[in-house]
Amino acid sequence: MEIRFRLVLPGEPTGTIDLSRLEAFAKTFRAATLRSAQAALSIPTYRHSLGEEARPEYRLVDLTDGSTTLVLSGTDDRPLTREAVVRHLNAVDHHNRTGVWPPYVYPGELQAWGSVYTSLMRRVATAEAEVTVDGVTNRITQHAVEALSKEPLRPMYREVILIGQLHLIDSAEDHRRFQIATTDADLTFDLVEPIETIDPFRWKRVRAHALWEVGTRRGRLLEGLQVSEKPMSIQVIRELEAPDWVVAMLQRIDAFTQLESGWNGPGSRRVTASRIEAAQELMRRLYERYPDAIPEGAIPSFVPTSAGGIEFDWEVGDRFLNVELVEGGYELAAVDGENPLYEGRATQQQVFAWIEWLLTGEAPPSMAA
Amino acid sequence: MNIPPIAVAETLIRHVHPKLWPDGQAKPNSGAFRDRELSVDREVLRSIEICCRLRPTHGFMRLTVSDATDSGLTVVADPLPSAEAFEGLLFDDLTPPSLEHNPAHAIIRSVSRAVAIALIKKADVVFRPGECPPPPPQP
Repeated sequence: MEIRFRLVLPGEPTGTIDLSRLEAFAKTFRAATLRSAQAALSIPTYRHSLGEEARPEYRLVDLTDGSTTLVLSGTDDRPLTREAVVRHLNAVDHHNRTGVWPPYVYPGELQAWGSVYTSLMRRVATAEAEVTVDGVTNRITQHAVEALSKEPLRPMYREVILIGQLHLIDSAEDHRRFQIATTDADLTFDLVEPIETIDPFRWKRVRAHALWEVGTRRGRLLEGLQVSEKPMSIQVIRELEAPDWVVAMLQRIDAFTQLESGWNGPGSRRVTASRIEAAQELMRRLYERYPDAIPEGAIPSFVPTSAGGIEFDWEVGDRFLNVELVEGGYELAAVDGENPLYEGRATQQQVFAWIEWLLTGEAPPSMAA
Repeated sequence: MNIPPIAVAETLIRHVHPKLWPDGQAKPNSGAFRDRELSVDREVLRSIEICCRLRPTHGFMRLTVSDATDSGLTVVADPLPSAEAFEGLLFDDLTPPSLEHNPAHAIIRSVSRAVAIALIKKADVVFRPGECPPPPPQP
């Protein structure tokens, strides 16, 4: 099996490739082929390996003159080695013809291949690649790379019981997380709880009731951790798909990209792509964290701000939250009936504490304005 | 034509961009009522029909001056392009109404997040985005 990546890289000498680009390509290609192999074998992406199956391996066998063409070869003739490359090419072809991704590909798989092409083409608008596998050629343009890199909007989740070791807690303010590993899997959880509730479990075997986002290694705790003596394992309880209102809100946020400067009068700013991504990520987290607690008809509503930001209002009963994503954190106002409870800066942990208050009506977090 | 002082019983119209009013939502988000200087039109000087004609795709909310002042806010007349432009006019203002020429323009000062939430609860919906009636046919 031979795979040829013929690259059109404007401004680059043909027949050669700089080592940093080659290094990034090798790393992302190995990650993407593993993701596709996992998808082909229906192995969850939180696992490290392919179970009994050996990971597909490839060698660089030629770098041609005339144009820059990387020629790779699979090290074996297994169908999986071919499948791990061809899946995304078929998916791109399907997407080009229909405008939607085929149902068998996962967001993380597509993003992994987006990284492969970004490593080669580096966001140069006119760069492209022709990928030929066994004589069949697919053209990958920057447009296709953007589509690959952009996660499909409807997330899927699996509710799981994970028995594993809590082996890492990172409490850095901008990257609060902890990780639980089994013998063949490693899930990362956002540390939204106070660290004191997680820290006692450090280096212990724990039972985690969690929601795993399919196609990623990210999980969300659905209840508190418990110490466990049971063997390491992962048990899938149910699969669930984000409901229509989540998809509609993600699409609504996505549409903020179309706003130009001055959209809401002189001085109003366009919303940046990074702010849109952050808002969509927050929307996903809200659903992941409270899949069954969000009342029907009382959902958060996201809007752009004239300052180029994004915020949401969320009203449940007499309780009202307004939260704006700002540089380095959040601005938040909480009102109970006619009584303002708080207005000021907040961390993500505090935002989630206020959302607990919003959804449950239990005591609001104590914060000084 | 001199701009009259603002009375407590006056009604004010807030123009709301459609993006600040999610589909199916009874009222816009509170962000539509938050600004250091929140622009409104004094209804006594500019009718909702004219507001609709100038911004047919926007939504419109009505509140009273007392809604704002009861929340500790200050409402001040801010005619556009300036108060001087309207001073000493012997006849009615004959300049066609526009966003730039607006004797009805006023501002509510320093509306914070929590106060914007209070205002949005008090304000009434006049027209949601896209619900403005079409202008009457020209004679």
